[in-house]
Amino acid sequence: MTTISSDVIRGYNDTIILFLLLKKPSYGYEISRQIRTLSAEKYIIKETTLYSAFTRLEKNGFIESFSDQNAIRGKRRTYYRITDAGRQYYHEKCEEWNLTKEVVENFIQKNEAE
Amino acid sequence: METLRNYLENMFLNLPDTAEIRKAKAELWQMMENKYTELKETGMPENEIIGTIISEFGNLDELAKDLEINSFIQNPENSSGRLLTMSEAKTFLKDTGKRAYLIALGVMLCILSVVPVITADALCTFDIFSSKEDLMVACGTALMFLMVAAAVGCFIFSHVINNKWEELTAGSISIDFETTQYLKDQYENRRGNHALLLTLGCALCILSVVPPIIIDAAGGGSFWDEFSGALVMIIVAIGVLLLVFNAIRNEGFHKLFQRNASGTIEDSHVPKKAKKAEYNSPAAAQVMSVYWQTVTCIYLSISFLTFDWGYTWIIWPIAVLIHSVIDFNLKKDSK
Repeated sequence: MTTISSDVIRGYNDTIILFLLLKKPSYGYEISRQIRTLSAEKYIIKETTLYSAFTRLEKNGFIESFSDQNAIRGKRRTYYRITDAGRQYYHEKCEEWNLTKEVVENFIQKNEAE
Repeated sequence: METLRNYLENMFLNLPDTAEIRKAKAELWQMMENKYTELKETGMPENEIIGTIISEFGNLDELAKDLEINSFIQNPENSSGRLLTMSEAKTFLKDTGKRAYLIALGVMLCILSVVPVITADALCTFDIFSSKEDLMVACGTALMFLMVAAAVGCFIFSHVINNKWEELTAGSISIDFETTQYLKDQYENRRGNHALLLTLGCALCILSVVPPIIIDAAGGGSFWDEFSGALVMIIVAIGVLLLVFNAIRNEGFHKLFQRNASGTIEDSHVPKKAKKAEYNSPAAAQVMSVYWQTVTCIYLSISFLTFDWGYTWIIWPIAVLIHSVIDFNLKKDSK
């Protein structure tokens, strides 16, 4: 049974997270859940990987974190939102992926008999 | 849910206690908690939820670069030696309890051993006994030695029981989060008890002088005059029993709490004894460590030379003042 390439996905974890933050801010577990759903359970991101990505994105200035003011059930939650630099980085990565995909496709055999 | 908490805490146990690492731990816990709540709502059985969360959690290697903890992950020697299990910790506490009883009892017997002799002497003031004085003294002395022997027996017995815990004092043992929490709970539960024993013990020691004072004032017969000495000893013995018992039991806890590498998250879980004052230069530290002994020496020498006890006590408040000034100037700033 084949699984996704961890090398490749590692390069695009940041992009995936930024995509999910494009429309509105979100928090840790919500993002992890959306990744699972949108990938149809084909990619389940680990908590440590996710946190590591958050830290990296924040250090590079692509996202900002803030605490939830109206705490639900008395618990403060850490939310993340994308920055302008983040949006720009996201678009660059999209282009990078499209180019990469185009190039690699040239060397991939199709599954159906051609 | 406890299982998850322990899992996370144990993972972070030997990492340095910095703000960044605490933040990482808090955020990871948030994610785990949220996942748990949602899976619970789907009706998944508890075990399955916990298994799922742990298997999908990942490991510290992912975080190593971001948190700069590479050195801590790759060098397991940094984490202190053998892990003490929960049941071993419980056994240790029980053994410490036994040791506390035995040693306290031994000390009490030692103090009380003079009582038979005093009593025998006191009883001799009564006519019935005065003729058998030799016998009385002999009995008293025999009882004294009996008590001393029993006391020594207690000390030896307690030492043998506790020999197996030598490695704790040798110091290469670490304790996981769950056990630390359990120990902390036990320690806090005992706190009220501890305060009570301490108070009673001190009170008894101070009150021990009351019987002689009363007997003297009441002008009691020669028996009571002689016996009052024994009364002092008995009350002191009970007071000391309480104090020693309490001290040893407390010491047991602190032995377990203090073998952690300081500055790690493991260390932050544990109730602290007040830290010894730290000084800027090693020379200062050495001088200050014998400060009070030195002051006592000076006090005693001057007092014996001049016999002016009425005035020499003033050396003590002056010494306290000088100590504060030195502390203020030379102490290391606490973080």
